[in-house]
Amino acid sequence: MGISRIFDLSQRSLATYQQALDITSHNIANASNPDYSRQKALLAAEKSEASGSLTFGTGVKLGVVQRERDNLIDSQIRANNQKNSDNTKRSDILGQVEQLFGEPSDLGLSTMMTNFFNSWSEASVSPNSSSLRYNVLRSAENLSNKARDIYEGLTEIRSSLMADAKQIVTDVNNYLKEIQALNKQIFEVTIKGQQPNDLLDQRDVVIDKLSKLANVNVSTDSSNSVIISVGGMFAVDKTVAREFQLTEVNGKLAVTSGVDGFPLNLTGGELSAVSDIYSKSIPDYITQLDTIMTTLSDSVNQLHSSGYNVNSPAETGINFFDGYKEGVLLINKDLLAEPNKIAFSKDSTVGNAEIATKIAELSNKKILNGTTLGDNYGSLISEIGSQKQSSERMAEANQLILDQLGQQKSSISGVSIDEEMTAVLQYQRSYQASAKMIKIADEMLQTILTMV
Amino acid sequence: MRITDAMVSNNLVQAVNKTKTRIDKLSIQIATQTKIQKPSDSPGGTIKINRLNSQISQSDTYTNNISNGLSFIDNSIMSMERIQSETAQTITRLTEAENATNGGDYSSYADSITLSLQAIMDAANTEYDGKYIFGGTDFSNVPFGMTADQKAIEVKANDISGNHEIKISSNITQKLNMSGTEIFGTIVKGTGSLNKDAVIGDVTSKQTKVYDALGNEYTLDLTFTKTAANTYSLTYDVLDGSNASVYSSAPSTKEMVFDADTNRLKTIDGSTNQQFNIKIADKKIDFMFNTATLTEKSGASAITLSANQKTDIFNTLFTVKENLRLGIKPTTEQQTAIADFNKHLLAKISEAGNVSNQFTDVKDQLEQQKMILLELVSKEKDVDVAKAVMEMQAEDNSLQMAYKMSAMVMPQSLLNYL
Repeated sequence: MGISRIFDLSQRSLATYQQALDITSHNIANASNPDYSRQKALLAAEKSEASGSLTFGTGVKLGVVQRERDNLIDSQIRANNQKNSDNTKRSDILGQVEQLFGEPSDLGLSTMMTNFFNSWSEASVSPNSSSLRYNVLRSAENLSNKARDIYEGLTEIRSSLMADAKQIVTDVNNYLKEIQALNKQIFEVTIKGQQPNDLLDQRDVVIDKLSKLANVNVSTDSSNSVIISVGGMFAVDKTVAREFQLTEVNGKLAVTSGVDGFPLNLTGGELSAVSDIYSKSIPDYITQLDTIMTTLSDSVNQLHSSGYNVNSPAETGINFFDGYKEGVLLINKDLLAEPNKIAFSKDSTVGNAEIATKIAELSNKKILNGTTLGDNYGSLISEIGSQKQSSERMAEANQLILDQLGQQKSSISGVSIDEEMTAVLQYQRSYQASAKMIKIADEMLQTILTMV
Repeated sequence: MRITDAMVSNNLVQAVNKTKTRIDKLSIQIATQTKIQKPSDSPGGTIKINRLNSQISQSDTYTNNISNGLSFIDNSIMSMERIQSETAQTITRLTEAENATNGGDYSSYADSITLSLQAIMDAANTEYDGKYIFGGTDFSNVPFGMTADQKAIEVKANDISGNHEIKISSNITQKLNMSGTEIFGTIVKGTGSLNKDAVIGDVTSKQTKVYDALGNEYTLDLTFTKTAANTYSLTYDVLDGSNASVYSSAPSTKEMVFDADTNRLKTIDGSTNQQFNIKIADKKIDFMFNTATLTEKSGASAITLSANQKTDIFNTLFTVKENLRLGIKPTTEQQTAIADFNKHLLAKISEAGNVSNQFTDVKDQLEQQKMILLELVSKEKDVDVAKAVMEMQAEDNSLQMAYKMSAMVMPQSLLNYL
């Protein structure tokens, strides 16, 4: 047992504490990096040496650089990311949809429809009035314009959703490639017995981003590689990254694998919201709007064509609307050019306004699904409003959970400056003490040398 | 639990964001005075507001309809009162003419009646807002005028019997006008019932006297033939003194359909109008045949026909005037006809007054209803500003507290003490 052993032990100690300080310094540098997982220097005693019947310790070593991470919280965050981004995206899109209808206000379709029927009622009082005939046409035009605006708005939103979906699928494919590349790097570092902590952080960031786009399932193998399935279909491991494609069949969006063409079962993430609203919600709103406008057009035409206008001789069999198709409620051009052709009368006399009164009464008649047109439209608005409200509330609830999970994650993986500075002081003191030991050993050696 | 610097700052940002979101929502509510900006703010509330607004708008339309209708009715009443005033004066004049002291000179009475007739004609042809008040629903021509031979007064318009109906509330459709036929016309009314159990082919005939504008007598001959269950064909003819048809070609047969449940007449030739005009211009014959009180029920057919008057007031006065010029005093029958017209007119003025009152009552109801609806919209939509301002103040306090706390805590760390 020589004095030189003290040198060896202290030198090892100096190196170890320097490494520990490096790690602390790395933590402090990333204190504001939200994607960083703090690393912890786990010190361990070096293997001891036996000398006769005694065993002596050989100092300290840096056992492991531990990455502080809780996998359970990570998986919970990903699960909630899927729900939150699905609901948030849904809420955003439905917010755009409900704005199109402009309810409740004087500019909504409800008011336009009421004004249209009221204009017939007003005209029935003075069926010989030209200005009231124009009033009927103007209110019909307002109704037609509003219906067209809504229809076009819904179609535009649908088109933008298609572009959105394409971008999301591209992002998914890019993320899968990134994950595959990181898997490979992590595998290479791991088989060397090293800890790929920062690479793991990078990969977790990409997985979190991916989980916001689609429903994913993540598992890890023994070589630290993740195997991810998207929408129930294998997507990536350390060797393969699949590429998904967006397709549209019969007006419905589907994301398929380039390999077998099977569609993904999308239940979460932005892609689920976009696909669902594109394929189901908006077509359903359009169908409901179409049904209301078609019923209105047909019902008005049925009455109008049975009436007589004020021309001489009185004409009958004229439709008020040329029909409703793809959002356009076409007013009969002949009537626009010659309002006298509007039929108010049931018996061909100018003062009879029975047809006008009957058309006005359509407003309160249960002519569609056993309810009035207004109530049908109200159901559509309520449906949109409820869906938006529901996704908004769900998104808020998901965000609350995510905030809490984020706090838990930060509690485990986040960097505390106080904690790190305390560690710095500890390691610094240990380093100083180790240096002192070298000085003491040196003095001991000097003492021996002076004896010679 | 470890508390990291990120946790402290995240907590602060989240708290501040939530408070600011609430402040934003409250400030929009205070600025717009409404708590429902879009359907998702309250889907149920949005439907309710739309429905209430629709009701308010309809109520406004009905109120406008009533206001316009009231002007029309007031004009109708004024015209009828004018006619009634002239008729009453005529009755007085004719009573005077009865007085023997007037010798055989009735020209002044004839002049007076001429003036009254002109005034009545003028009132009967009153136009308001482009519509002839007593022109039914036909505004193509003035309702009344002299015949080409200047020997009688005839209906110039095609049809003065039309009813102008308007909606004055969601459940009330009210007849607005007093048609020329109702006021001046001769209406032959069919009352009673046809035999519901009669076999197909069963025939019921009925006759009554009708008169032309000059007072000449004719016979109206009606034949109801059962053609199917609840269905009859009605053929009619007008016969002169020698029982010959005055028509050059027989008028078309009409199909009458009765309601099997209520026994009431449902349609005539597919129309729900329960009267039709029988007009033979060259014979100066013009009257309505009204079937409103005709029914169908089990048992033998029992139909009676009756006319409200022989000739209309215009031609009665015209004949009286012409006779007075010839020194012939008006007959008792003529005087009775004029007095009956006066009574009929008073009844119609009263009827129009009732309609006017009904309009006013419904208008009041609509205005009351509108107030209630507006209150309901307000309850659903309007912001309680005082409450919102208080909440805003509380949120503002929270925000300031959060800022203050963060200013105190966030800059501190161990570094400050090393």
